[in-house]
Amino acid sequence: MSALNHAALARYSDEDLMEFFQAGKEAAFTELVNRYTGKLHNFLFRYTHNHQDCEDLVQETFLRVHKSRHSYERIAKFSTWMYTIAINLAKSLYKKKSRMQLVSIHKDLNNPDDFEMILEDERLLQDEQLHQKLSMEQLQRAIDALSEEFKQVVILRDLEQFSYEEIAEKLGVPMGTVKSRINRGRAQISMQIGKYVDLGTSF
Amino acid sequence: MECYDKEYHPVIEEYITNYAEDTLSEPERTAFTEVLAVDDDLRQFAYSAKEGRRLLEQLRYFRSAAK
Repeated sequence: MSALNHAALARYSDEDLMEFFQAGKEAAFTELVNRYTGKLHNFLFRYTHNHQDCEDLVQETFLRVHKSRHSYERIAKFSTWMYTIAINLAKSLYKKKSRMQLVSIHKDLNNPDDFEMILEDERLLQDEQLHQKLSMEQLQRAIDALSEEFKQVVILRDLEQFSYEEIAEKLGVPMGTVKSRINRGRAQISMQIGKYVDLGTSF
Repeated sequence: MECYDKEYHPVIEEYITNYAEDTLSEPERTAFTEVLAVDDDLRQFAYSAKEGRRLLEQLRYFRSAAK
């Protein structure tokens, strides 16, 4: 890979680019930044509802990707790894902000009816609740889209927390079959959510 | 996706389940990671299963918090 121009790099997958970057090719990182800045911004906007926060988080995410490039392993899709970093940063920001309170500076000591008011920033709580609601809805939709045999075992194992033995006994199928169905059910849910993220970031 | 339609040996299915649930012991984990490194379909499948499990765990958490 001698000539690392944009056109040449555009042909490579994200994971290839990360490998080039890990090998010291900075241009590969630039290509990833170009590829994902817009998508990441849109993705993060769902969580922050604030463009300034999004811009800061996008910068911070790429900074972390840059710093942590050697901890990336090709076993994971690059986009999943990067979105995980971004979500963790967004969550940290929420936590930091939710600890902040707006305090009224207006307090008349001579007026017994004038209390100092401590105001919680309810908008942030609503955003977090919205995020949870959206996530739950998407996950529920992904579960509903599973075939009955996968849905049944995934619900029993991951939501109702039955053991494999109990599920096998309940359904009257061998334990190996239960595990195989759970693996496929979980994988399909991940794929459905991935589709949702792609859709959500492509506008 | 094609890789989800593949049938794996029950031993491999068990590895995938344990990988998704983080219950592999250290030598098993190392051995399985080596297999994943050379099998693209299996790697994608195992990773998706793990990611799916994580998402479902989140859903369970959200539901219990909402109660």
